[in-house]
Amino acid sequence: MFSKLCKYEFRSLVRTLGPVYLAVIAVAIINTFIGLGSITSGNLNQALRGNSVFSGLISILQGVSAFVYFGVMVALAVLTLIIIIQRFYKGLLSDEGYLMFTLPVKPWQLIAAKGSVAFVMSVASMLVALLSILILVCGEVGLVTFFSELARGWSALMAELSRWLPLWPLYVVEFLLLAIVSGLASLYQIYFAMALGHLSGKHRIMMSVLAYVAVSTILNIIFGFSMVFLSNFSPIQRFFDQLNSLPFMEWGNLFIQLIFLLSLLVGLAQLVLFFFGTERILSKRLNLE
Amino acid sequence: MNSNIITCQGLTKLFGSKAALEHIDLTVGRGRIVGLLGPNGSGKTTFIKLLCGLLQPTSGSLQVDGQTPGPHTKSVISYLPDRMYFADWMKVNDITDFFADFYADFDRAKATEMFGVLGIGPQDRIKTMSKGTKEKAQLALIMSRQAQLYLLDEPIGGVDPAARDFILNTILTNYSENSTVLLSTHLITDIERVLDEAIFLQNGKVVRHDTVDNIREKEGKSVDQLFREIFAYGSWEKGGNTNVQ
Repeated sequence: MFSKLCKYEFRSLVRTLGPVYLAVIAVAIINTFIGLGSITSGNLNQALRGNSVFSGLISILQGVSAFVYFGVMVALAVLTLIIIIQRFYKGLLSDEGYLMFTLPVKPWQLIAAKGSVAFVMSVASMLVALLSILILVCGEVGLVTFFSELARGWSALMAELSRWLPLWPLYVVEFLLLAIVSGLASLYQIYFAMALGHLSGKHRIMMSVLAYVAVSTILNIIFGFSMVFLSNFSPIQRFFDQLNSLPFMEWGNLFIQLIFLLSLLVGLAQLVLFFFGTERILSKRLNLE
Repeated sequence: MNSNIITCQGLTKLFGSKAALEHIDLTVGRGRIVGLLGPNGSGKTTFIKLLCGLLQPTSGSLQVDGQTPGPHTKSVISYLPDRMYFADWMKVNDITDFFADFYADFDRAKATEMFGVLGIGPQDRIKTMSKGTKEKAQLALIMSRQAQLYLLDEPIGGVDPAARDFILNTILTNYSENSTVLLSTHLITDIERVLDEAIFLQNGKVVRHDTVDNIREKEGKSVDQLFREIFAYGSWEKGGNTNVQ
């Protein structure tokens, strides 16, 4: 059942985000010919040096296509967020909720399907943005140069990394883990705010926005207070003093591991709170209009 | 198999301090067509939403097929809400696939046949359908399930008389012997001929629950006449509630 829920969620997200992805790629490709990162613009300018009308026209085109590129990049980010929010609100808390909440599944499955598909689509949006930048860079320096430089840079990077930071694969894994957990936590914070807004009889959208601001503020206050508290907590101070006496490399490593572990725990705690908060509200207090 | 499809005891639902349903004690057997009758705001939709798990009771208990609302009861209930609940970009094909995916008791051949009779093509988009066609399409899907309990909230509310006949015939010819149909409406004349039982709701209370035959026999009047008497404006202030069982 969970995979079927994900299937329909994917279809409806791809339906709306797919055209945006295509637009970003298309505009990036157009920009490799005229505008940002253009292979030909230099040549064109050269060729049209004598002709002021044409070169003026070309520079306008370059400006416009660069402008359009930034436009679609901004649209990509904004639309990804809006469509993810809208899929939750329209798909569960409006009329479509009548269909979804009467399916023979548990509410947590609905919420988990929404969150995991939304997460995958956010990653897809980032990959598309990255791809468009790659296209621009390839356009600027040429495909062959780009890949040979990339390969050279990559092996140089690897050599440096294994010399100075032999633990780097661990860092990469940790970074990915942290990105997944904190990405999911931020998604579920949005869902949780919408669930809280749903508790209000009217002005549900406005109450959701207020709930989001309130939850973020409370989290910041808790975080700030615990920082102040911990930094004045003598066992912790003693621990850091001991750390300081270690050689720099070991000290740094331990410190990074500690920060990572702490951030991961905080992220997990938030994710659990937001997920089960949303689940409880939609299980017990659902009241579709 | 539990002998009653619906059992509620002391079922109460409050919205804030306002009671939408108050202390409902009710059982409904299998193989019945039951009318849930009452004026606007009497609690019909709230009762149906509680049955299909879209609302949670404030107090009291509610069982469908012997279980409290959850995945099992949802798998045996086929629910027609009082609104369109599909995303409007979907095509008839999409919503048929959706039902086939989530409901094991869905009969695709039957749905296709009903869509054919209605002149609805598999590639038709929900967005481009008229309000009446949407309702008919949704009903065709709902009735293509071999459910144990059909909950139809105002199934004939927004359609013309011809469509009304089609809908009633669809209900009559498609529900199986052991399933119960519970339909809410205030258009009683149209549905009286199909009902086995009637539940009268008023201000969140069941004021009468009886078989249609009993009502005709004891009162010597049709369900429609009884409805007009019970719910005549001002009647309850003047002791019109004497009909309460």
